[in-house]
Amino acid sequence: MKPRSRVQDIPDWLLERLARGELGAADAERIRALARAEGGQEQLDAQLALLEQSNRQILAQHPPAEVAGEIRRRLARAERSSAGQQRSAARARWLLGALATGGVALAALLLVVRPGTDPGGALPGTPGGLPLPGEPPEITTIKGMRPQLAIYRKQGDRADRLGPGSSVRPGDTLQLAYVSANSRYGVVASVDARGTVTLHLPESDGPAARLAGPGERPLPHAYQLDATPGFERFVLVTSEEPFTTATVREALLGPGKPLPASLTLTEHTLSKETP
Amino acid sequence: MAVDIESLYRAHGPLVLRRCRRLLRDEGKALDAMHDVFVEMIRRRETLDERAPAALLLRTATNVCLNRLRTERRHPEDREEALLGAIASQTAENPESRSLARRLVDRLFAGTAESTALIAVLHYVDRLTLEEVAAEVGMSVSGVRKRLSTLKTRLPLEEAA
Repeated sequence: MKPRSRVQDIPDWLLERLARGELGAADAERIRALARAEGGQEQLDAQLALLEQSNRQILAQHPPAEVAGEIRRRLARAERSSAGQQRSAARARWLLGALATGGVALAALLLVVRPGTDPGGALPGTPGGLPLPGEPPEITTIKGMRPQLAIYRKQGDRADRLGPGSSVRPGDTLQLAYVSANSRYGVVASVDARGTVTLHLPESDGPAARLAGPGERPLPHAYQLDATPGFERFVLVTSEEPFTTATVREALLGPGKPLPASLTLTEHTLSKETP
Repeated sequence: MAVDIESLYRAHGPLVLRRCRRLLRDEGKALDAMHDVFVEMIRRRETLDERAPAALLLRTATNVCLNRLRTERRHPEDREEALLGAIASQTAENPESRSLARRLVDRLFAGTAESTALIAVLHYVDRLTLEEVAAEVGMSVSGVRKRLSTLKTRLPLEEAA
């Protein structure tokens, strides 16, 4: 590594932090030593003084009351948009709850519970018997339940579930999660308005991932939205048999190329707010 | 607790605006981006690290500006502007880069790691050394080098000192 030789080569990033006393003692001393060594102390002081002058000029050109007012307006607009998305998410949660409890008359829904509470029957720890201490709890499955894709947006310390059609902004951090509904293999991907496909699970091309279950399973990493305008369409493709990410890419990008009938598609499309 | 926005801006606004000016090269766009930096900080309830608020604000401003650059189609006026544009586009549209950048974002409840784009801007545009970048983003030098290696061949570069 070649050390810097001139005061004017010190990056603005470091000067800003030096001006605020934010650099560690060693880093600050390294910069000051450079200035002393080449007789550039006056130059360094002048650069720091220019930052102070710039601070005063900017505050005069853009007074705090004006800027704060604009920031508040943008915050209010963002909160209104977020409240609308939360209502959509609440409606989606209600609908899923209704499906799960059979509140909607769908012939395909059937609740199956493994027997495990017959004290006069099977021995504990055997099929049909009570679980032994330390054993995992009984698994409840819903026959006919479809795979699900959930999208959460990080908001400070909480996560808001987004319903289909929700609006999102560049830079938003999203966490995807799936419910496999007993499907064994799956791919989670997204495509934006420019046709750029991003793989979320698996994270690179190849065979579809082996899905975990039961319950909602978050993907290993969150996803930060870029500024590509329009929309981002998220899909969960599942199957009982192995398949590849290439099949999903073709279906997302090729007009008139539907998924094979053996694959199940679940999707959410989010609209992107223009900055 | 309500945020005192005027005090926040008075203390940190000029630094943020200078950063946005440097990256966007347009006063109107820089001012617009500066507002959004504070909106983003307040909405995310970011607690400014009292030891290093400037570092957090500079990082956030850089990310806000990079997002704007990704949607622009502007003929660069100089080499630095061309480099910024290339970093912005390569870290958004290239699926491999997006995948890598995404890997740097931790799980939703476990915090956020720095993006490859930010690291690239610090090293190739701001001309921080690898050691200085590593100190800024809290990573090892080898980790920084690995992140940059995926972009290196696609950018018009000369190594920082």
